[in-house]
Amino acid sequence: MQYVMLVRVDPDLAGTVEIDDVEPWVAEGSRTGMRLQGDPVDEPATATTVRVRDGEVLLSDGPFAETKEIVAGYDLLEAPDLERALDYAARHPVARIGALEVREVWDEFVPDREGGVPPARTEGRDYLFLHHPDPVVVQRADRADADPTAWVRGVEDSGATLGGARLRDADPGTAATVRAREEGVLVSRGPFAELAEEIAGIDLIRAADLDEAIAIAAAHPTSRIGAIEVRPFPA
Amino acid sequence: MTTGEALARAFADEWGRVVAALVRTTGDWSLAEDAAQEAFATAATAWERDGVPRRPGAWLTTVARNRALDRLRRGAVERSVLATRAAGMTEGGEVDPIEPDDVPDDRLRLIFTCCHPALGLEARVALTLRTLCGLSVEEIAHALGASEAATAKRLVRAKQKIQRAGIPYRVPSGAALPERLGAVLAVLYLLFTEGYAPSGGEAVVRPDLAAEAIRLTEVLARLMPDEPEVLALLALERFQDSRRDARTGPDGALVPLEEQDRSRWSAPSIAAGEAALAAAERLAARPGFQLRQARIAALHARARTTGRPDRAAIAAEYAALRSLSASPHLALAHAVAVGLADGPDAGLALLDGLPDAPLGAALPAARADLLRRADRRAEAAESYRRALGAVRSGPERAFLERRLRETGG
Repeated sequence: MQYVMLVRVDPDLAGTVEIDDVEPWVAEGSRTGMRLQGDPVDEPATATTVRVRDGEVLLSDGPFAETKEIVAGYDLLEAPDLERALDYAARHPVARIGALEVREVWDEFVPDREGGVPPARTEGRDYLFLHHPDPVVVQRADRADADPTAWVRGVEDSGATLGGARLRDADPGTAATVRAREEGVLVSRGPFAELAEEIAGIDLIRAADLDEAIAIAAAHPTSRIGAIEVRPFPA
Repeated sequence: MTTGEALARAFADEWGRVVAALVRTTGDWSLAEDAAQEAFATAATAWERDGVPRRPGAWLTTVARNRALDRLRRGAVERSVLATRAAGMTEGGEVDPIEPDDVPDDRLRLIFTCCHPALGLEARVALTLRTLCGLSVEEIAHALGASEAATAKRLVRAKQKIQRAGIPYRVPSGAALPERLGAVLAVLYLLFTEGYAPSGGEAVVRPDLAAEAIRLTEVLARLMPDEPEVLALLALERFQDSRRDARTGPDGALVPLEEQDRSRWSAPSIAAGEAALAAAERLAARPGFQLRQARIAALHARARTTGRPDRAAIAAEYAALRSLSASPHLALAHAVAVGLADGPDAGLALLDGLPDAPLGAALPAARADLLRRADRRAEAAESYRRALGAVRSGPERAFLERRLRETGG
C-alpha cells in the first residue's frame, strides 16, 4: 500500500527546537524500501494559490490557508498498512517541530495509461501541486466535470508530470497525523484536524516557469471546485 | 542645465531602464538596484568634473553594468548561476557604451514582472515604485503609510519569490496578454489613486505618487503604442489629475466635484486627456474597461466648458462598465450615477442590493448623499453617522462631518 506523507512544520517550534538531520531517516527508508521518493519544498512565501471562477484565473500570493503547521515537503511511502507507515513517520525529525500527515493513496482513481507514460521533460523547474477541493462545491459539482483523467493524460503527453497521487478521503482507516512532543508520540486518526478542506491529492509538475505552472494548475478541475496551491521545489 | 538638474532628469528618465537592462543581464534584482544606485552616485561626481555625457542613459547603463561585474567578481563567484551569466557579459568602456535603446523591451519586461498577479498587491506596488521609479524604501514606506521595516521586508520577499518561484522576466504573449496587461494597469491606477486620494492619513493630494503613475503610464504607452487600454488609462489619469488643485479648499478640506471651482481645473491636463482618449478610441475595436472609465472622466472634465456634466451619458457608461467587472465599488459608482441622472430614488434602489463589507464607509456615504438630495434629512444624517464610523482618511472624515452638520445631525 502506498501512502503520501505531508511534512508539516510549525514555524514557532522550528525557531525554538533543534532537530536531528533527516538523512538517517531517509537512509532507513531506502534500506527497508519504505520510502520511495520525497523532497522538501521552498518556503511558504514562495507559494501561489490558483483558483478559476467563471473562467477567470484568480491568483493569490502565499499558501492556500494559514494553518499553524505548513506543508514543507512530501514523501511517498510503501507500507503493509497505516500502522507501519505511522511507525516510520513518527521517527521523522520534523515530528518534533510539526506534524506528519500520512494519507493512503487512491491508486485506481485515474486509470493507468495503456502502453506506459511518455518520458518527462528534462528541462524546467519543479513544482508541487497541493489540491484543496472545496467539499461543499464538490457535493454539487458534476462528477464528469471534476474528473481529472483528461488533465492527467494532457500532462503525460506534454511531459510535464513527474507523478502524482490522489488521496483517499481521510477517515481513521486511511489517514492519521503524528507529532512527537515532550509527553511522547501523539497520533490523531482521521482528517488533519485544522483544515476543513483537506488535501485531496498532490502532483509533481515540471514547467518552464511559474506562468506555465499556473496555466497547468488552472486547467485542472480542482482549481474550479476549490484551489491548487503551487509550491516550488528549491532550484 | 546644471549637473544637479541633469542628474535629476536622468534619474527620472533612466533609472528604470538601467535597472531593467541589469536585471536581464544578471538575473539578480538586488544587484541590479545596487549597481544602478552606485552608477548614479558615480555620475554625481563624474558629471560635475567632466561635464554631462552626450548620452546619459548609455553612460549610466555602462557604469552600472561594470559595477555589477565588479561585485560578481569580488563576492559572488561561488554563486555559479550568476557567474555563468556574468561570463556572458563583457567589459564595456567609454568607447562602446551600451545603448539602452538597443533593447527596448527591457523596461516592458520589468513592468510586467513587477506587476505579476502571483505577487501580493502591496508587493506589486512597492516593487514598481522601487525598481521602476527608483523611490527609496523610506519614500515608499512614507507614500504607502507603512513602516520602513515592513516595506523593506515586503520588497525582499517579493524579489525572493520572483527568483525562487520562477516568475518569468518576460512580456506575456497571446491569450495571456490582455489579462496580464489589465493587472499592470490596475497597479498603475492604484499607484495613481494612492497619490491622488490616499486611503489613510491627512494629505488629500500627495503629488509624487500621482506624478510617478502618470509618468510610468506614459512610458508604457510609448512601449505599447497599439494598446488602447494603456492610452485610456493615461487619459483617465490626466482627466482626474486636472482637478488636483480644485479638489482641496484653503483649509485642506475635500471639495466634492460639483462644488469645485471649475476654472481651477487644469486646461492643459484636460487637453492631454482628450488627446490620449481620442487615440485610444481610434485603436479600440470595442471599448475596454479603462476606455469606459476614461470616457466617464472626460464627461466630467467637459463640464469645465459646458457648465454641467452629461449625467445620462455618465450613467450609461457605468452601466456598460458593470458588464465588464463584478466589482462592488463599480456597482456603487453606477448607483450614484443613476441617482444623479434619474433622481435619488432610482439610485437608492440600486444601493439597496449592495454588500456592506467590501465597501466600508463608501456605501453609507453614498446613501447619505442621495438621501440628502431627496431631502430626507433625518435619514441622511443617520447614514452620515454610519459612514463616519467606518471612514479612514482625515479629509474624507472632515467632509462627512460637514455634511452631517448641514443635514442638521
